[in-house]
Amino acid sequence: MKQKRMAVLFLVTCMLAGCDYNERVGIEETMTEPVTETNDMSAQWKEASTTPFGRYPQTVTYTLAKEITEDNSKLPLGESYEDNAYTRLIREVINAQNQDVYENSGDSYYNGVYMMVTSGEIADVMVVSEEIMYQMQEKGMLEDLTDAYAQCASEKIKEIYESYGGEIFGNCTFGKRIMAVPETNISNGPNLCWVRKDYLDKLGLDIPQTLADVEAVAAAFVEQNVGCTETEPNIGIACNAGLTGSSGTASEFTMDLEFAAFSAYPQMWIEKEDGNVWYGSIQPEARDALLHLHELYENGVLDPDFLIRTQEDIADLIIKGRCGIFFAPWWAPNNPLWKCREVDANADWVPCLIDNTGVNATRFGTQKMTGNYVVVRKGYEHPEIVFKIISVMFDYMRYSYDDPEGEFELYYRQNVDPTARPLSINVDYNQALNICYENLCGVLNGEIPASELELLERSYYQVCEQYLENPQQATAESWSGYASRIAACSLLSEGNIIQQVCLFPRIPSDLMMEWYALEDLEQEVYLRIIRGEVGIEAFDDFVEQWKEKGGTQIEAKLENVKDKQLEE
Amino acid sequence: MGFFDNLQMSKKLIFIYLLTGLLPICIVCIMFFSQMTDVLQQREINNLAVTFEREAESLDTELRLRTRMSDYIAFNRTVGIILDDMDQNNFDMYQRLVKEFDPMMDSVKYFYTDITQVSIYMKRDIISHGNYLLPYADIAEEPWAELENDGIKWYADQENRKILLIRSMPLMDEGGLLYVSMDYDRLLRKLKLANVGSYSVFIYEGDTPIYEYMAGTSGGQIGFAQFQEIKEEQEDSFVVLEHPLAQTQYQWTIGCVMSKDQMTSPLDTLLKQILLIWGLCVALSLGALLYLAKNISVRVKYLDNCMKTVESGNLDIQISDTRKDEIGDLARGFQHMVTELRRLIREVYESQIAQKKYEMTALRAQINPHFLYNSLSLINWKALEIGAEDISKATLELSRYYRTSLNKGKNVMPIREELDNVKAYLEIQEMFHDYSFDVEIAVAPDIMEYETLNLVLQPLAENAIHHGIDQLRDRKGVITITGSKEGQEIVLKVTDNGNGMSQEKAESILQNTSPGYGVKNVHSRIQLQYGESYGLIINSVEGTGTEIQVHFPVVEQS
Repeated sequence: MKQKRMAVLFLVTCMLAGCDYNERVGIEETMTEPVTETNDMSAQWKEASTTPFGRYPQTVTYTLAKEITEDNSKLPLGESYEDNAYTRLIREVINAQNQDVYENSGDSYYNGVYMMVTSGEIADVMVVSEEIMYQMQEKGMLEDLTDAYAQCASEKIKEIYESYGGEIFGNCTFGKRIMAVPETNISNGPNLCWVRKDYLDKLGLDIPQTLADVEAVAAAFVEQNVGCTETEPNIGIACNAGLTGSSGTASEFTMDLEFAAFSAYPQMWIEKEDGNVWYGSIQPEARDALLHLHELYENGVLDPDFLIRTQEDIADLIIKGRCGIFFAPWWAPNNPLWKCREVDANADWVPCLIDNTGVNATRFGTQKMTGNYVVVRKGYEHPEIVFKIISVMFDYMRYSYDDPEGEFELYYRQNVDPTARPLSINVDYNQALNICYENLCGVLNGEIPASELELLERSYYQVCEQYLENPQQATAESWSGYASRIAACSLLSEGNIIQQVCLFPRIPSDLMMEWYALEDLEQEVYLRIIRGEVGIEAFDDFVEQWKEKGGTQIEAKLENVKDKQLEE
Repeated sequence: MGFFDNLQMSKKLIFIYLLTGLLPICIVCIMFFSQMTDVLQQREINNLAVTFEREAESLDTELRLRTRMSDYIAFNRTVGIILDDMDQNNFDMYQRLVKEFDPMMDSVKYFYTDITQVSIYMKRDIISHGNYLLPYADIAEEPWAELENDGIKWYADQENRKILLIRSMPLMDEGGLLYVSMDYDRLLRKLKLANVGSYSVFIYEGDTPIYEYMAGTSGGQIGFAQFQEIKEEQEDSFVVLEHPLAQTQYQWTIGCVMSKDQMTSPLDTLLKQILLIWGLCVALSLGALLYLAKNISVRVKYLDNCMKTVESGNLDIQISDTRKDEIGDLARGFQHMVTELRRLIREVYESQIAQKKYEMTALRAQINPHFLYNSLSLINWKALEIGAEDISKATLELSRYYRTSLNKGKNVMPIREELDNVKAYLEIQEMFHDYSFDVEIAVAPDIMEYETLNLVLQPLAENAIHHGIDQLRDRKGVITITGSKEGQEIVLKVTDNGNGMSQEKAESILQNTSPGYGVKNVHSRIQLQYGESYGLIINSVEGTGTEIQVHFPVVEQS
């Protein structure tokens, strides 16, 4: 009797124990959290998806393709692209978190994104060039953002976009639906000439006023090999192989001013008086400009190896002191000049507004009002997230957030690169540069109290104050803040500037292949001419070829499109 | 077997339980547990080995993929051509750089997200092109910069958290290196091997650890130094697996270590459960056993004791057992029997004895002693009148004899009076025998007042005369009567120097009803009165004589 009882008991125990064991073994497998929807929760979700600052009840993680820069965008030690002041603020306010699935810098980033688009494996959110945005729209990869903009862009953000005249959404609106978020390109004004005063002083030269002065100074630098060794000589004027800011954004090391001196605007479309558009690169003015540039190259005024160098290479040369003069926008101190100054405290870079007209004025072609685009993968559950993030970063953070631990002020002071932001774009008023300059001057003059400044202005104000206290001993960061926001901006606001309005139309997709070929052709001809591999006659051939191989067609189409756009 | 049979019931029960209950459970538990431990351990070791090999292969594959990728660049003719043309510095070269070279290098980072930098370091004097083409001089001092021709080297830069793949570029005329750096933590993601327990995984080059991952709860984690020790000493309680990574020319090895205890840790709970159940079973069964023991064994023993008590002659017992099982029935039946027995004994035996006693008393009462004494007194007086002194003596003695015999009906008297009785008898017998025998009496004076039964000595003396003295032909008979106190006993002896008898005959007198009725009667009466340890002892030697001893306890006269 007893034995039977024991046996049964024993067996039962074994079975129970067996079940338990199996279960425990499987415990390590990850379990996904079940989403429990309560009434309260779904109300929260609804609010979060329809307002700029509504907080998601559960963290929404989105995959991101991320453009980065070398040296971690100058973020403080220990911070990453998924964990820094920006991402933390976004998480705090709206409970969104980025998960970087692709990180790369410069052109490589765009190549990589292009490959992602081609393969079809894209992230939830990506920052892409305009071209890639068009491709994605063609492939139907973009999510409609019209409602998201209406509901989740804050009032201020909408105001900012409207400061560009409403056309800013022109290129990303298809069939009256907004399919991408444009980055705003604030009016940066013409490029300035940045020159090392310490080199000028060494050679006893004056600050250049005209283009001729600039060229003379550069020639002198090269001849006297100022600040350099024989094996690593001075390169003259740094030059980018792209020659001009073709994307319509202000770029460093470009020759815009040289071209504009001849009223040439290569790679830009200009509207003629008769309403037609013409393409700057094939105009006779460009021919003259090319000839001049070729001369500069021959005389060694331009960097002889400019073809091979990447932007980073040029920056490297500047830091090493092998370049003492170049053309760049007002923000050159942020990148790369502050580094140069850090390495060599004697590097005394000053900005100059250059007269390239002969009438004490600076002529330049306006830039595109958009830069890159933020796109959302079609089918993603939270398309509004991009506008929410933008509202947090460019409205809340700048104007409402009081930055209790001074994280962002630190970023501005230390010139943390904008690529530190999860969405590495900028959204600001058209006249943002001017606004900031006038506010800063107002405070420095004592007209406005410092407390009225918004976050960015406040940070720069502190930096400028620091610099002005003791310019000789100032840190590189505070110098760069002052040099960019005050020194450079004062030239822009007080100078005599002539704008040539440029257009940046979208090339019709059916002519894209022809357009690429034309672009390649243009680049080849231009560079060969400058380098002297071919004579200036090649330009004429080029113009003819350009027209034949689709240029005229494109011109015609663009006029049609432009008319259509005006009607919309 | 006899040993077992003779064990007490309770011990039998315990033994049986041990044999059929506890022992099997223990054996099964132990077997089960040790088997489970072995099986589980073996399985875990196998699992570990399989998972480890898989992870190692996977890592090797990852390394191989990157090596292949580096092959692609290293042996790429386009790259070779471009690099050779580097100093051309013309538009064509620019185009090839920008349109062919750059995208190729870009794609590397695209396909392998852990790669942070791809660079070609050229020994030739060149102008840097971004990160992709750099002068060899930049890295000439690095520890990994020296490579044999066509060599590939994997290098772990722990300070900067990078893994480097360095290889030579055979297509470059003047030589150079392809440098690929990968994010350390992204490439060597957590190597997860086992689901349970703590284990450690290491990647090491000789004695230098490159990567460590320790999983499981902290405390008792095995570090690299300990791992090496364990490897060296080949400690049995640890499982150590190693796999040299082929892609690194077997320079790097991936190894893992797990303590065997850890493998069986899921069993711990099971073991506790089993122990608990076992304990419960044992406790339960012990409880049941104790209950059973009490119920059966104790009661049986109690019954047994009662029987022993009855056996010893004490019928005054009361067995109480109200339970309705067999033992209860037995007890009640026994109780019933004892009660009946008591009744029977009382009724039949004891009453009969009483009856006899009454009869005896009645009989004695019938013998009116006063008349007898008066008659004898008359005879005595008449004898004296005629001067017949011997008749007077005989009469006196007879009177004395009957007075002490009858003893007013009492069974017990002082020894003094019993002695008077036998003296009187012997006087008369001497007269009968013409004083042909002698009588010697030597009784200690200090026992005179002690109690004795009546008619003890006289039958013995009669016996001594009839069977001893009367049979003598060759010598004068002597009867000796002695008495003394020995310890707590009174010992009276009646000895004659007759012909005696064989010892067997002597002993047989006391056993059965023989013509010597008187002696046996005395013996029986003494035993009835005082108990079995008292009575008569007859010693006889043929041709010499016979001695009869009377033993009874010292009892003071009440």
